[in-house]
Amino acid sequence: MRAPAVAARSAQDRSARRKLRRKLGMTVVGYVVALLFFFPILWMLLTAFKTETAAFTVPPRFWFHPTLASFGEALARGNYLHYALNSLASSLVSTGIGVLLAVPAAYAMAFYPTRATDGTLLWMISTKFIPAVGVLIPIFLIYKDLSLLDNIWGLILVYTAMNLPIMVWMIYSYFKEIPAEMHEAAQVDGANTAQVMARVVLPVAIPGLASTCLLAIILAWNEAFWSINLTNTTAATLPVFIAGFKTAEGLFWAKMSAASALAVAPILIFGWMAQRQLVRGLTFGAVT
Amino acid sequence: MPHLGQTIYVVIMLESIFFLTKFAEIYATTSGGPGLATTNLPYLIFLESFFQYDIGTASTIAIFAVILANIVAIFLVRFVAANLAEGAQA
Repeated sequence: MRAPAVAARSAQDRSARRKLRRKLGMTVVGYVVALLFFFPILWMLLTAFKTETAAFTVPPRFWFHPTLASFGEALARGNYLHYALNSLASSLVSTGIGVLLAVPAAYAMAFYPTRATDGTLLWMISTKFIPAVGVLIPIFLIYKDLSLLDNIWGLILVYTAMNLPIMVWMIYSYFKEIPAEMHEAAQVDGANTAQVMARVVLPVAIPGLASTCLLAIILAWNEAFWSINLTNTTAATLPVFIAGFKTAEGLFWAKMSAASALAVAPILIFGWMAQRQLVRGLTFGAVT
Repeated sequence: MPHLGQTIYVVIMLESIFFLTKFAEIYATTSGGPGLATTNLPYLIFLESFFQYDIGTASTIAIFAVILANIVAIFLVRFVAANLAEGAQA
């Protein structure tokens, strides 16, 4: 009578221990994967604190005397603030214009769908599947004629167009989550479209709008292709600043890493502050 | 895994399209060199148009780049369209 109970208990123990061990294993795997994803950024930060020769040693060194020399050189060679302000202006203004255009578009498609709605949505997102280089030359030539090259407004125009499909899609999916009854109830109460939008739809969708804007700002901030090709100095953004450290001869890794660290720092801090909002928004929208 | 299948499908498709259009990484590190060893289509277009000033050739390559991306995109668009229609019914 006793033996089976003991055996059962030890079996229970064993399974509990096995469960614990598996949990521990998963945790370790999780940390390893996280480190793997984080490693390039870590390496960039480490390289930024090295001297040029230390950055180039083989095998690479993890332990070294940290120095701020590369930061000094990076700051001395380019006007960081000028590039940073351009980045800030282009990402904020393009996101502002984008959200002003995307909200009405998403509103119409979410609450008054017609037979064309699915097709329109699909067509919008499919423009994101075309490689940007495909339209580089036409846009470059048009911009040259309109003297929009190296002009911050030209960049803002491209960024708005680039992010608009994503913004419409995200806002559309947030609007879709709002029960149609709420919308109808407001209409029955005699609210016109503007009132429904301002008093009912937008307050509910604010978290979604916020995360859409965050994403658009981050995408515009990190955009390199258009800013490298369409701007030179006047309207150049931080990616141009980073790429400017590339030289045909000589060592530039430490300086470039320092420049990169300076370029990603603002958006990284911003991202950390907005992290909860961002994750919430992304999962909220993904359910549809 | 069966539930993740769709997501994985979309991620693979999107990533292949994104990697077909990588540009900044190449520009900032190897500049397509040594020779043309690390030049991809977007970078080749960039070289042709802004270094050789051969807009015609560059445009031709650009069309090929778009076609290549569209081959992948067709599957993705079809898939998304099917999902949209499904979502509308549910």
